[in-house]
Amino acid sequence: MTDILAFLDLVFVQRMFIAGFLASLVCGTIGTYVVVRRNVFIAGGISHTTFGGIGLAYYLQGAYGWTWFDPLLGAVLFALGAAFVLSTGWVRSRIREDSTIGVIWVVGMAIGSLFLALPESTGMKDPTSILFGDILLVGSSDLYIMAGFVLLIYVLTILFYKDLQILAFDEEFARISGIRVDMMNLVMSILIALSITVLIKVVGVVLIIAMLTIPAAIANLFTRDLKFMMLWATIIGIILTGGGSLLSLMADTPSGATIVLLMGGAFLISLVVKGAIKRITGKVGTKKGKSVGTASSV
Amino acid sequence: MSEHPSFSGPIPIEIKDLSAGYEGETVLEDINLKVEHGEFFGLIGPNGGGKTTLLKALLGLIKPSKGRISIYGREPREGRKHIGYVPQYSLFDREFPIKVKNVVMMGRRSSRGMNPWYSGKDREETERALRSVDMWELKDRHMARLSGGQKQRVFIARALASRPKLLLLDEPTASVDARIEESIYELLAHLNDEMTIVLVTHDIGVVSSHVGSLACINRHLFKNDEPLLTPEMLEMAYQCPVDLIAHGVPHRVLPPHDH
Repeated sequence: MTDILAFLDLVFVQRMFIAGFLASLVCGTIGTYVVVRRNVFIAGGISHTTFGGIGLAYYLQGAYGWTWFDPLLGAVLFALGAAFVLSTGWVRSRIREDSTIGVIWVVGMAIGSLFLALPESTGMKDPTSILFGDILLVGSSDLYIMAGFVLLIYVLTILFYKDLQILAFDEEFARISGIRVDMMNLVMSILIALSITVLIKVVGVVLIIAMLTIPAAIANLFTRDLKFMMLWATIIGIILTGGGSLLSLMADTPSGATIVLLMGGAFLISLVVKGAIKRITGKVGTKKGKSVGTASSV
Repeated sequence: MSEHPSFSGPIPIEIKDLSAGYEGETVLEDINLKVEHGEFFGLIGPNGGGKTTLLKALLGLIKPSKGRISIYGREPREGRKHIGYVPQYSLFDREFPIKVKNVVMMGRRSSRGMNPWYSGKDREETERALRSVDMWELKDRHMARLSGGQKQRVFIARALASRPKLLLLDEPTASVDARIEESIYELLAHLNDEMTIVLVTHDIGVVSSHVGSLACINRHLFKNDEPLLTPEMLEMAYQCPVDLIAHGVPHRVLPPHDH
């Protein structure tokens, strides 16, 4: 116990918790949209694309001495680029969306690994912390950038809440009601891109999908209102990210993987609990209850 | 028909020489149609016959390749603010976390404009709409926990929340049982006192016993002035024999035979 208290005094541990908190604010709101709009694959595509931007940043820093070109800047540029490509009418009308996602996904990854392999590139030659995150490496400047993005995400989300809700529920009706659907889809992709930039330091490029999906998916099991789904997903995110970070610190395991595994476990338990609640309250849906039963015995 | 204030001015729907389709493929050809104030109009046709395309054209979601549509004397994109649209509820995501009242509130979007918040007026109209379909008591219920008939009522309420002059329904009684179907038609008949109603369905048997006028659509449109299906209409629309009398509907939909 004293160990933990001693830990909590350390600056990098405090930063770790602040970073986890900021990340949770994002997985609550944007994660909820990603889940209800079934945009998980889009989020995956955008997040993997950012690897290219991060690689580029390390290369520019090393080869040209552009130290101001932060890896997070590279990440957000590539994420926004991916968001624009996915939302462009020209692309949407000619190429199936999942094909586009597949292409930007791997091209981004390839650009990243190419740049990191160049001898001029500075910093980490080992991309593990970019791919899987290291919440302990979050610097104070990262926290300011993250906080700025979170603020921007919240302003946009609150401003567009009603329209995003209509759009997520019924796109045709959104069009008829005078919502500019293509514009809103772009706003949504930009929000996802900004969120991913916030999350990179915490769980890394590969594990971001977990942050944007699992807390919201758990909240979805227990709520019947979009606002509350966001609230619960945020709270669940804070608990699981904080708990996972602490666990990783004590057990000396990689933070990203620990957080994600904790989330995965929580999701499984939630399914079981939900199944139990259904059985007790005697609601229909026995099919679901059964499939949950087999899942829990695995 | 009636002298309700919404039954004045240019007529609800006027279609002239309309052709429409997707990417060079024509789905509708040379459609002419007038829907007058206060009508209860049924539009029937086989699946793939162009019902959905016509709905989209009426709502301004696709542009006609030829001809023109006017909704209350305006272009569809303008005139659609007078339309309350009721889609097929079965197409919605069951897991979506949303309460009944929030679905109905969406109907206020077109009146609300860019304002990010709903006003007291929006809430009033939402309550009025929910009461008019008898669903106010269930306003806080999760959509997923409603029966098919209840969901349909909620989507009708959403359409009513914008105080439309014209109610446009897509297969309103698909996948509900006969009793619910009857109650939905009762509701529509009641709403018809205040607004023009157009409904689209592939279910000939049911619709023809409720509507005031009727047209068949299958690439072309065939209209009779009375709510009667002539064998010619049917043959042209469906291109196969259809047994109408076996449906056991309250009145005959085929004109009596002379022989």
